[in-house]
Amino acid sequence: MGAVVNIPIPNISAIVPEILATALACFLLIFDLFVPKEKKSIVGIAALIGCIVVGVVTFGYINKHVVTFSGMFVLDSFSVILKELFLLCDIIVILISLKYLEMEGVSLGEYYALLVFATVGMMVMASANDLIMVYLGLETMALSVYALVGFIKLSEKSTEAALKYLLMGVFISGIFLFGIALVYGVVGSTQLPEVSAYIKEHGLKNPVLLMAIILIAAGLGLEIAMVPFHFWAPDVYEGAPTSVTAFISVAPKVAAIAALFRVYIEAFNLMAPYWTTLLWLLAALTMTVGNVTAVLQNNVKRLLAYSSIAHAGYMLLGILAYNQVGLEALAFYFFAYCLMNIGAFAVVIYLKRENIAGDNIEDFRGLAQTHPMLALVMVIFLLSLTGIPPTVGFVGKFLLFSAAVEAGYYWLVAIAVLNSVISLYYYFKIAKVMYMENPEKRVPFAASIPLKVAVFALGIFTVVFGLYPHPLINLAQLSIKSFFG
Amino acid sequence: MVEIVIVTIVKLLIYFGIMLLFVAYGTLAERKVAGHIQDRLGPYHCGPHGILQPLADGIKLFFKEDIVASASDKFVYFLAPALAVVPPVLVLAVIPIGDSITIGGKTIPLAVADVNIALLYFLGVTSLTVYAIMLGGWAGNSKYPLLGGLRSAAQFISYELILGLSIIGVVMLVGSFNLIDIVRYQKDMWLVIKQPVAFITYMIAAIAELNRAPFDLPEAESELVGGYHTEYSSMKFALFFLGEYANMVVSSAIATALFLGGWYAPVHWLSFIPGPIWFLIKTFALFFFMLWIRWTYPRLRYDQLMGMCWRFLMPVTLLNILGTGLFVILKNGGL
Amino acid sequence: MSWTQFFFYVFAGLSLLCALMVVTRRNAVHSAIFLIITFFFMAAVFVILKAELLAAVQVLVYAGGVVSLMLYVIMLVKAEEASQVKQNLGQIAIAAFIALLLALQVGSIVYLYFAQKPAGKAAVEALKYGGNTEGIGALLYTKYLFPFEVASVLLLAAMVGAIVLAKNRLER
Repeated sequence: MGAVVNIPIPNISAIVPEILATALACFLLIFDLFVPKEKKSIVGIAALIGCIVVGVVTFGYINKHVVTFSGMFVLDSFSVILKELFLLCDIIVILISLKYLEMEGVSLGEYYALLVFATVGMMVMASANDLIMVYLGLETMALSVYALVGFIKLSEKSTEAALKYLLMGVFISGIFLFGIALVYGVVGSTQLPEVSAYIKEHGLKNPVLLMAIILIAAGLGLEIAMVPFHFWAPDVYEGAPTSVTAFISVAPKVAAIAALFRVYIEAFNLMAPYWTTLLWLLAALTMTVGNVTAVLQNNVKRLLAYSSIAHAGYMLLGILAYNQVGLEALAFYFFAYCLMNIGAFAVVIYLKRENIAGDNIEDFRGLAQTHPMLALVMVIFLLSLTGIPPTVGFVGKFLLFSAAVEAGYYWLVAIAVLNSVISLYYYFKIAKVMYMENPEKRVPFAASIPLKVAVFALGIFTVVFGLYPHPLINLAQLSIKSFFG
Repeated sequence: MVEIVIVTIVKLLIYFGIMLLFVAYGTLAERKVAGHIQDRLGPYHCGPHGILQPLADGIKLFFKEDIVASASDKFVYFLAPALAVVPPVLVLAVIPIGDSITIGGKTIPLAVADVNIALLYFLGVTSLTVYAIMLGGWAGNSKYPLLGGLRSAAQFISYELILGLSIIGVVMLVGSFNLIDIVRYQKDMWLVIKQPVAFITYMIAAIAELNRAPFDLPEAESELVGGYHTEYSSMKFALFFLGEYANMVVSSAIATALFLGGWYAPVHWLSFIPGPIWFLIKTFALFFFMLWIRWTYPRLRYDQLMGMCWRFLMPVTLLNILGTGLFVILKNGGL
Repeated sequence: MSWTQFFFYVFAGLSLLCALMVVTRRNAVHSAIFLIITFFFMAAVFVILKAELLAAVQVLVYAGGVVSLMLYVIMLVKAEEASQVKQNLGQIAIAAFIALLLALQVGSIVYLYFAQKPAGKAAVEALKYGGNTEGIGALLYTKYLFPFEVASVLLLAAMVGAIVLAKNRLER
């Protein structure tokens, strides 16, 4: 009776990483049922091993270039590198979560499953070759993250943060979808290459697509925490469990910037004059607002929230440069940012004790006397975030700024450098408290071995890749193949 | 154009009439069946064997004082009873009571609307019944009706799923959402033979959706006074009543079309009796089945009700879909 | 203007009107009722656009399913208290101005651009399969197979998240 439809068999091998990650999340949910209540960190260890396995498998795809599922999904070196980054974030975040969750009294297996679900969403975003895929990946990630943010149910701050994030998120989703709908209305397809082909054929003078560019930037701008869509960030970062804050300050931001990059480069490449103007403004605003507001903060989590807003501004430079060096610098900066930002949050978790949240700047007082090593590591992260050698942050910023200069954005780079100077002030406010002041009282830390491993490994890598950045640069260079031959 | 409009209106009026008759005598049938099952006679005084009882009931309800709860939300309070009657009446449009007939050289299909998404339409429209109950329960601004309404919402949504999933097996075999196509498919063999599991789950879900015993928790007298319509009286109460019986009729009619061969006679030598008559007989048989169940089985506990839906019926219907899929693949010569 | 166009504008206008009622009603239950009506008019618009399946799904999923769950929540909140909460923070003038600006901008762009254009190619493509039920089914199993699967992961993640948030509060 109905029409016979031939269903083409898609190339499933290309999505093996996503399938494995989804299977891991489902496995964790089921595995959780057999683990007694007080030993939930076993689930975390299972998640850790699972993420490592998925990461290793994903690495095998590094030099492939496959477009499959009727053009919905693209597997290229850029997406593989991003997936590795997300999994790396997962691994670090799981390490710093294991003990922290117990201290907060919310050690539940679902935490790890949601973390992996969020990763699946971001992996899909990284490989999206269609606006619908970007949206679906974004939502999968966002919905998991909303639940993670509200994970400490007894804390009003956590619940408030989750609700705030959710409301902003669904509102912006609507805007993003509206942008997609406009593209579909004009082009008749949401696939990135087809949009590009349409623009090539019909010319640039299309107000609807222009509107769509703005709306798509807005839609992704929330996760990037780009000004003026940044208002949620400080409250959510402060209210969320610190381990989740570490996660959302890096992974979703990177995923959204990467998606914005792909959409603009692949679909709207010919409209570059328009979106570069838009991004120029947004980048300048984001950097300045982030840095200037950070100066006023006394809560370290809020301070780092504004700092991460500022870093989003720097990363937009990479998209703006729109050349090989820019992409390379962007890919490098993703890794650098992951190491130093999660590192800084990990130190905040380190300071968490009974009855002390550890996120107030007072809690850092005299840390250099009580815990010289920890203070040193924190200083390394702060140096790196500011962009001072010999740290990975310096190399990242150097690459980004030089790419932007090469593309001719002298003014913007000047603003960025000025902003870096401002950031020096508030980052070293923390350093000053640690080194120049005396500790109030000695309360022993309860840091677990995984957390110690994570903090010091991140610190060491921040320095090592600062002195010897070639492995990361080589990795970043691979991503160029996806876009520039 | 004008002709089509007139024919459609005439058809609608006839079906509406049939349904009202069905509903009126459905209430009598309920009481009679209840009576006989409980070894008593039921209504006996209005007319021979109580045959005029529905008329008397109607008059009584019309002239009863219409009490409006003073703390109620008037807009919703008046809306809810009206909503109760609308869905079953809308569904009438797609019920295929018979194949087309020829009058004066013109072929007239007996169904009001021959649409290719009839089944989805049925599901969509019936899913609105829940609002009558929920809003009715809420509008009175009273505790027990509200609890009844909320119970009903949870129950309704859960069983709506089972209803839809049961139907999918049929749709997979026939390859169409069109009820007329589905009935024609059953010319030689009723679908109840090919899809017995779907038939059983459909009937369970239909009864549960109607909030009838043994699933009548929303109006459990012992716990919730009278259920969601406690605050209603007179004609507004009658509309809820009307809606419930109309829904029973419609569910039975759809089940007839889906599983019991619609207008086809059960055995070939009986096909001299016209199709619509068969359709009505089958519908009444299912209607009677619902009455029979109501007066035979005790009420379930609420957790049992939900557990049965999600833990038992849901997997069963999914397995049925899987099995049907395998069957269809094998019939078409494997992969 | 043909009858189809006439009814399109009637239903589209009514759905907009009801949508406006949804956001302006103080009483959340009234808002929900208007939301149901809005979905109905949207379904009518779908029917006019010859997308019967979408219309049915609209009624079945949104009007029948989603809103009843929303009502469920609303009814558990005390309606009188909820309706007394002050819903704007003195920003209504600015908000209205910005919204109007955006509406004008988008409206004018869309109107100027789409006014001269014929219907999108998507509708024609769907009709290739002889009916929109088959058309949507075919698209879901071919072109949109991957998004379809990702959407199921999305729903699973959302479900797990919701259960986690709801469950633990009860346990304590």
